Amino acid sequence: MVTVRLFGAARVNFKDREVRIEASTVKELVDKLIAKYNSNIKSWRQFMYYVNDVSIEDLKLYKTPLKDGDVVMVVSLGTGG
Amino acid sequence: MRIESVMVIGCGGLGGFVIEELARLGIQNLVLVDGDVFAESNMNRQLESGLDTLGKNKALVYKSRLERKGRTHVTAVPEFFSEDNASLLDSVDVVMDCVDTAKARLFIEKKCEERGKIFVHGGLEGSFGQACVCFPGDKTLSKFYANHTEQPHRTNAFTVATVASLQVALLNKLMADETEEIKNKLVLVDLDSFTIDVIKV
Repeated sequence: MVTVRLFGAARVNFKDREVRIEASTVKELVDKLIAKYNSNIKSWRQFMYYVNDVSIEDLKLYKTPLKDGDVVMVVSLGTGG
Repeated sequence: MRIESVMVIGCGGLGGFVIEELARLGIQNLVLVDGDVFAESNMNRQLESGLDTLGKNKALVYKSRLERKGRTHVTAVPEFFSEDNASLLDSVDVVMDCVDTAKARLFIEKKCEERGKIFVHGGLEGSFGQACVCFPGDKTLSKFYANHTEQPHRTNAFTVATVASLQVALLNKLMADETEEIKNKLVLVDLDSFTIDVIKV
């Protein structure tokens, strides 16, 4: 199981602070989040994803593998000031 | 790093608290840039926002505030940061990003890149906020806001003050030459569940 932490607009939109999901890649994780929250791909593609504090941009993007115990942060940064 | 002069772009929510803390930190020269005036909608979070400042330019109001407290090396630029005044960056050591749109932030990043300036980014939404130091070449904000769609902001005083403090704390690290601790790091603060995370960017 992977722990998913929602931050910023992700938390505001989908309400949960943290959920646990079974997934072997980030893509699979996102697909399950879409299903869980009855949302669409666009809602989730706007966010940034960090696996154990490392951006998927520095890993294998949505093909980044996940294993039990990993922590994925779903981050949306605010622009307010 | 010797930091004697700091530019604060945006003198609203973040900017107000950043200005106050930079002055208290003892930064010698401050350049305050904002073309906006105080409005009623600012009163929930902006330090100098009140009945007495409605309609007054924010940069000028903060200059007056600092001068009342004995600070004399304050330059107010009552204009929005733009191509026309971007050369002002050459007169400062570091820039504080305290604006309120992705577009304005990306413009600051572009101009700082062109002039080799370090800037300290801060942003927030509701009870969430973030801050990081952006060095020339990082292009951090271009990555963050690549797919961003502007939406109306929900902001409050406690998140604004917290993110502003993070920005000044990061600048303090620069002054102490503790660059390795802050390079390529993004500080995320969550005032809903009271957590702070630091992630690599």
